[in-house]
Amino acid sequence: MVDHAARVLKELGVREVFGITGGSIMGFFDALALEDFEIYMFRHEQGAAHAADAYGRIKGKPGVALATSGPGATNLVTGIANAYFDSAPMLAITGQVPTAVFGRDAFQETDIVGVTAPITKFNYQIKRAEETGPALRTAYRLAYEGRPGPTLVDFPRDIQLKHYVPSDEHAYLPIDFSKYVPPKPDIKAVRKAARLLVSALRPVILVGNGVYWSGAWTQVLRIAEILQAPIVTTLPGKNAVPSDHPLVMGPAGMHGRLEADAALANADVVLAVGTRFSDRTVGRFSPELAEKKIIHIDSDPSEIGKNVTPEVGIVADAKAALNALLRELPSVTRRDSKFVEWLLEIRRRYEAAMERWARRMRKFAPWKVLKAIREVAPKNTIAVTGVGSHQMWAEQHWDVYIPGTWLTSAGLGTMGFCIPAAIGAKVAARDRPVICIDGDGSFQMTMNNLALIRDYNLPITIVIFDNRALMLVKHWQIYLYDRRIVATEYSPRPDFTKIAEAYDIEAVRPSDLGEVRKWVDWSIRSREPLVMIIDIDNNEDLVLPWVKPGDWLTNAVKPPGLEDLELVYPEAKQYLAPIPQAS
Amino acid sequence: MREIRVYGLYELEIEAWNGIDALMRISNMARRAKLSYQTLNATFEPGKLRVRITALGDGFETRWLAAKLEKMPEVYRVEARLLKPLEAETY
Repeated sequence: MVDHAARVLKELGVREVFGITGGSIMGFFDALALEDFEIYMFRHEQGAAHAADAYGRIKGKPGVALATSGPGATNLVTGIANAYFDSAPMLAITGQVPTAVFGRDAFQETDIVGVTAPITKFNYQIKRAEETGPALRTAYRLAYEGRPGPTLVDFPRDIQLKHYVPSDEHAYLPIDFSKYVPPKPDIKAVRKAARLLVSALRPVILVGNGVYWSGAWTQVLRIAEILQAPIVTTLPGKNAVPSDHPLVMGPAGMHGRLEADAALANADVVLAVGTRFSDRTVGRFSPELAEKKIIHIDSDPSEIGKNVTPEVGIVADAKAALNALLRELPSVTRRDSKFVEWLLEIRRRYEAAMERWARRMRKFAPWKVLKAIREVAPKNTIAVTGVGSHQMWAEQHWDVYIPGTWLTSAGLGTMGFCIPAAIGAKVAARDRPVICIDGDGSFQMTMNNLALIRDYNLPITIVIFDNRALMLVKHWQIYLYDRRIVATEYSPRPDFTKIAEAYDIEAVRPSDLGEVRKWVDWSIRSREPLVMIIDIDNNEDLVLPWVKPGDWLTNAVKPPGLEDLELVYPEAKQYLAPIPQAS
Repeated sequence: MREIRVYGLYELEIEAWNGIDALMRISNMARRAKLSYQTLNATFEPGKLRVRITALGDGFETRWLAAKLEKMPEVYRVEARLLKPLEAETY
């Protein structure tokens, strides 16, 4: 049976799998090896799942993660949940105890279908040999069809070992795939949206990662240019538009950029595309956001109106909807450019203040390190982040020039994502540089997967922002818990240079930005893996600007020297509700 | 889209495939809706699961759940209807 399963995966185009073997899946590993699959042997199943997630995001087709039953399967759970919350295509295949002992608490038995039901787009337990082909094809296709997401197939050991010769096998399980073809955009709604945008005083486009999956960034930029509308993004939506376009203001939200927060906060009409309106992006939903006229485009009808009630909701593929919108918009509109100029002035003051702040820092200023790396990294470099303060600095200061080159754990916020995801990205794109921007806390959660870098010749560049703290939590302790620092500061152990050396990877601890540039350039040009440790002072590493949880964007805590900077557009003030004082 | 949301007793009728596993996944989704569940009846036929749920709550929340269920691969059909309005609020 397992030989048939391996051939089905091969027919689907799968050539690489990530995972760890074990008693309930070893037969399938054996069959995969006989079919010449490249098997990437991880050191923890969570890493395999993150690698499959990242591989899927880069390739646009599912990465495949394999694990044995029981702990192997449950170790995949965090990675599956991560893919679910970031809508990434991946297929997990888990071994299972023989069907004869189901429910008898057999050794390494876990109901993984039950465990993963709320965090998978689809999951299925094979109970008969003839279901194997249809189940694998269905799960693989569902992972990318419509809104992408993780799927799981649970594969009992006795079924794996059954002798089976397929004949007249169904291609798929009885699933109606047509429901994943998004409807055509409703032309009446599109016309209403066009009228709202043309008559808007300050239209703003909010871009989520749905724009990337739809391949709609050209349409977004064209509409922005016609309307002279600033573009702001969500954290994952940063992946969807080039940062160097003059109308791209960057990510808005809790750790967004000031000009992006100001743009979104002062918009009268928001065109939101491929985003679920996370509270991390908008701060709070009312009263301010509820007063704006919102046009919401999403391929998933359950997202329309979930968090905000739009004036116009369009259920459609983003690209189709934006093309329809472009047909309804005039080719050029006359619009006052004062709003964009005001935002760009905020950007100038913000950047200048960050320069002054950097000069006062005792150790490295994280954003200066990111800018230095960006100077030497080719434009097509894939940047992957962990989760923590380094991720937020990267959200604000890492420039994405080419859509699809930014991988981060946004929805679930999974520490430990960076190393295995960078490995998965490198497997998917061996010809492109991959940089893992990690933090010391995040790095320590999955650093055992460094072993794969030499094992499979995957030269990634790892930059650890080392502040020896769970800094985003410490940040909240400083601001919200009266500076009571509890369980957020690490000891100096382990020495990361020794960790890197143990895995036969060059490790450096640069003393200035020149050395940062030199080593990153060396790693990329020579295709050598590198662990670069950046010393950060955890008493200074406060990621600002910052919008407190539940607060509105204009109340952002600003970087030093910008306390007088007003984020309410002067001409909008008379229309805005009174702004509550920050506590 | 700015609409009157009706609070009341709603009924959801669902047809799906994959037996009790589908019922589990439907129940998992239903747990995420802010509804107060009154009844849940399931009937298993060869190749088809029929589920009928009644719940108290907001019309918007019921539609959200119906849209989520409709997107589940194993679900063939979802119908949501208001059985009894209990209170109306304009948001």
